[in-house]
Amino acid sequence: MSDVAFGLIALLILLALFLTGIELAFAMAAVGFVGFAMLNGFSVALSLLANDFLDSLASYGLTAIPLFVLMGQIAFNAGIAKRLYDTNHKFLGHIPGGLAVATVMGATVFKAICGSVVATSATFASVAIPEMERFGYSKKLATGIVATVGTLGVLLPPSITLIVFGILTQQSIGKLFMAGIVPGLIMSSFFILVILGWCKINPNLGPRSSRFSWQERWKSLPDVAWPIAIFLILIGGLMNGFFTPTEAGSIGAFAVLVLCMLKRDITFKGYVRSLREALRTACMVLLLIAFSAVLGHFIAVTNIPQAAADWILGLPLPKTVIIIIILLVYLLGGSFIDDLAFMILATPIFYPMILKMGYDPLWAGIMVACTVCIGSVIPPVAICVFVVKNITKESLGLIYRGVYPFLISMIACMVLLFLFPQLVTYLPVVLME
Amino acid sequence: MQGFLRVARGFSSTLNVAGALLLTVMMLLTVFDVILRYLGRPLTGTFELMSFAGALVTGFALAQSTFDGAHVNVDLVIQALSARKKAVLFILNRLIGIGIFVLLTWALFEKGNDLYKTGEVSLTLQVPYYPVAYGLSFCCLVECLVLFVDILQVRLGAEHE
Repeated sequence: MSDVAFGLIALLILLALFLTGIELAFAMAAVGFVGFAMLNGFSVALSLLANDFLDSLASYGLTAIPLFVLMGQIAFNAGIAKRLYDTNHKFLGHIPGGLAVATVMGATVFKAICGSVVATSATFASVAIPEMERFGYSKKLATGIVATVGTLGVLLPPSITLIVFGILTQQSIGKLFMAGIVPGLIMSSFFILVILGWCKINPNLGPRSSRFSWQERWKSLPDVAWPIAIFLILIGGLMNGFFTPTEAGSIGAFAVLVLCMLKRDITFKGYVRSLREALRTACMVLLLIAFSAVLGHFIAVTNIPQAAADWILGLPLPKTVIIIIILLVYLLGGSFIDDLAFMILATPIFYPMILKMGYDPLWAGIMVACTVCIGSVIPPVAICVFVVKNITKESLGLIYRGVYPFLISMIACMVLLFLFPQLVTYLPVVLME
Repeated sequence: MQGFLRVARGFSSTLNVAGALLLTVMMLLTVFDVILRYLGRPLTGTFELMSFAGALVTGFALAQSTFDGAHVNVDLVIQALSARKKAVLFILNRLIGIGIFVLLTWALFEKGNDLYKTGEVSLTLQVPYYPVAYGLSFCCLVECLVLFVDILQVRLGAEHE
């Protein structure tokens, strides 16, 4: 049996193992270790297992992950999202669908300091949905927008997905962050357009809420200003090479913590809770990365990436079709497995192909991130929808009826980025080169 | 059984607290380094310390994350199975996990021995590498214990039924 055939059988076993409910990271390590041992001997495989685990976890680049997650968790536990939402409510609540628009705007600003998709969906499900219900908003619109809006965090910096993609593909995380800003803002604008259009067609979906005086509005602005200021300092620092992503994560977490303490938004218990959550999430992501390194070394030895690249690039298909197929694989794979886990699994195989076809690495990263965005709201594994369902106790059917229009806008955004890659590459080129 | 559970919980939560403290130290260390760098007096070796601490933070959080069920899995198919079949699969998966972490405990301990014997140290601060390997090896051992306790809990649950 050829090494490629052996590798393919091992990958099938891996997928079968996934279906048994095993932790994905454990399955990757088991298949990678056993496969490598069968090809190269037990002692070599044992040494690979230890080295990959130690080297991955002791990588300076990866230390950015727990720190950025901590920053987001502090922001989450300090209730910053509520203030952001309230400010946007004061400015936009009086227009039809205004509270849903305020949700999008609040979440967009919140994303500037919190990269967690789940935390954003959970926060806005608790903050925005009751408020929208109070003013007679349709449950379909309220749950739909909250389930979708969390996905913005995959594109907008400091996105954990982009940090992981940058580490896997050895790209500049700063450039990836820059590349995600315009697509993230486009997606955010599309969500707002969908809300306004939908409420124009059916005004009962999002009735006007109370109007606030300009004095009240101006008073609430500082609540929005400081998260944006922290974001600009972090992005500016990364862009100009003042600090590394790890330093940006540390400074961001520290700044958010100090500001929240000064404003008495967070207690010691809240900080401990943030640490606990940050450790959980970071450990989950880092274990996936460490064990995918073991699997990646096994797959590399079987020569699958090279063989797959040669086969796919040898197909009589235009490269546009091939890249669409690759993105669909990400989308489908991510829908059945966790999106981030599938990205970690698939990127070492597909990324060399994407580069061989001559696509821009930053563009590739953002397109893959878009598949993660969409994957977070499409069944069967739709983490954002599940979070909203758990908090609101509404039916999945109702939430999905609200999600579909936004899903279409996400696909439209992806098509736009596909047709105009400059939307992704322009900002990093202008600001960092 | 209760004894195993207590020991596993005790180790997991103690390590998790250590991880939380270390993460706070990492944050503060980097912030001070950046501030001092712009004052012309950077802290030497921050890069190395952060790498070591990063590895230990993940290791320390490992057991508690498993206790909390933080690791991602696909439960779509198994949801349709009977409780008995689910329990069998769960035990098999836990055995695979124990297998991996037993191997890691051993391999990292051996790695620590090698690093100790060769006296390998970091470039700037000359900090030895071996404590990190030994530390991670211990964390993997605790992870084995947590996975074993999971199996015991499933068995206990079955006996109650």
